[in-house]
Amino acid sequence: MKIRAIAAISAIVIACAGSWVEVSPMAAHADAAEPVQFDVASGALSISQTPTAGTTLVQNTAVQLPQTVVTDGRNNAGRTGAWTVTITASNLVHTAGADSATIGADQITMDEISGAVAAGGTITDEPAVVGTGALVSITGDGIDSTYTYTPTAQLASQTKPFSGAYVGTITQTVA
Amino acid sequence: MRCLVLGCVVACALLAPATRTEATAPPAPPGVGIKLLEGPANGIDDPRAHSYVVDHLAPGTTISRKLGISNGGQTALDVDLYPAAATISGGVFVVAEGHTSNELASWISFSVERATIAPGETMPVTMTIVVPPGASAGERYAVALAEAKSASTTGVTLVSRVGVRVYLSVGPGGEPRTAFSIESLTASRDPSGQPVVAAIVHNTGERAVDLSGSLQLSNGPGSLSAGPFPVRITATLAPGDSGDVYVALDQQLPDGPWKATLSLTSGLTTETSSAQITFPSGTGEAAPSSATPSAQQPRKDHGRPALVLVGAAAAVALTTATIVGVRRRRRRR
Repeated sequence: MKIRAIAAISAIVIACAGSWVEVSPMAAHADAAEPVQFDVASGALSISQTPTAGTTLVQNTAVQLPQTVVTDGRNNAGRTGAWTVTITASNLVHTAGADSATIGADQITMDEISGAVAAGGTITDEPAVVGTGALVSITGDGIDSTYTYTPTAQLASQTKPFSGAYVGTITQTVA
Repeated sequence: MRCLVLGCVVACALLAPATRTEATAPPAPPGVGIKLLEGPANGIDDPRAHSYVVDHLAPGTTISRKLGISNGGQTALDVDLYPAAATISGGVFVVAEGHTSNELASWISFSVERATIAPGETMPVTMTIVVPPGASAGERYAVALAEAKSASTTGVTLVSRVGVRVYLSVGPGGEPRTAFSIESLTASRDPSGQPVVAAIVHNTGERAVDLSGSLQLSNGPGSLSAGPFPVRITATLAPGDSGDVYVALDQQLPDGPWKATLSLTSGLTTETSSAQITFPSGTGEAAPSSATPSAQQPRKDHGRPALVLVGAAAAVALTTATIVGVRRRRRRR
């Protein structure tokens, strides 16, 4: 009787200890170099630009690009995250026609109209950049902190520009 | 016997983890999003490892990490996935243009390179990093990017890219040390009259640091104290780099003098330094004050000690019930 009781108790303790060492509710998994990994509970970093129409650059005018929203869902209580948006313009290439030409990206100055930050975060508004560079940076200290702002792009005056349409890209990268 | 059973039930109730209700996944944030889904077990206490890929690997090692790519829009989203080079410059983690590669980016590949993600969905992707056997020691930087383009046929096309930073240290043995020092604190007032404290920080270790923290003021006029104030402008510093962090304070604060104590944290490393500062009455900057470091403050781990206490309590309950049961049986005999 004593031996059966001890065996039963041992089995129960071992079963409970097995659940005690589990790191997360999901199964632990392994790869060759790191046998055990943990599951990240925090959310995503995202960027949203919603154009309502095509964007056309105008000489000597700061054209407002579509409103941009950066959401940092990576911040859980006790942790902080930081991100930086880097903005880059490509060369503008003439679409067609006999007079082909390229306007260099260094002719485009980009800045941003500061917006609103919700749910925590402190913003660094970097100076205007030409062609490429950091635009804004934030330390997010609130869960799901969001920053809404409007980038602008100004094309420098072009001497003897070729007529016709030019196309290019403006890229915002957040990491 | 009843005591034994009761003791076992109590022990299991204490030992068994609380039932975790599988929470409904939160809605995808607006636009194209990316997140880490997993990290190395030895990084579970490092806040940076929950946002970035931060690792130290020996040459010849291969690891994988799951990422989640989300679409928070109303229509399906075509997303390209690729690695790109990154650098740390001027206190900022800078992602290179386009598909510019570097050594680390060339080691990175994805299980999927192009996908169409339904609105509101998050798609899991596996990123693999293969460190060549002959890779030299040192830390490298890259970024895992998800890219989406706006639908525009005229003018300027808008491209959105979102990434997970990769800070990878290569070398044999244990992880290189992380260390930084707070060199000086400078009090100033900006043109609007707001007091600002700037600190020069030097990365004295062998890993990049992402700094955040807060400033506390004490021993002020009339024994006033104020804060903590969060660090407003942070810095990412590569080994050997120096940079500035800034703290904006309340405009109601008197000039001082104050004892300013600045605590900065990167991952598991915290440094605290103090200096006496006095804000200028008008716009301008006071002379820098050398900062005196305090003892290094280890981060507190609140999870594991609690678990140990619960386990110990369960073991005590079970042992007590067993002893009581055995003694009662002997008395009956």
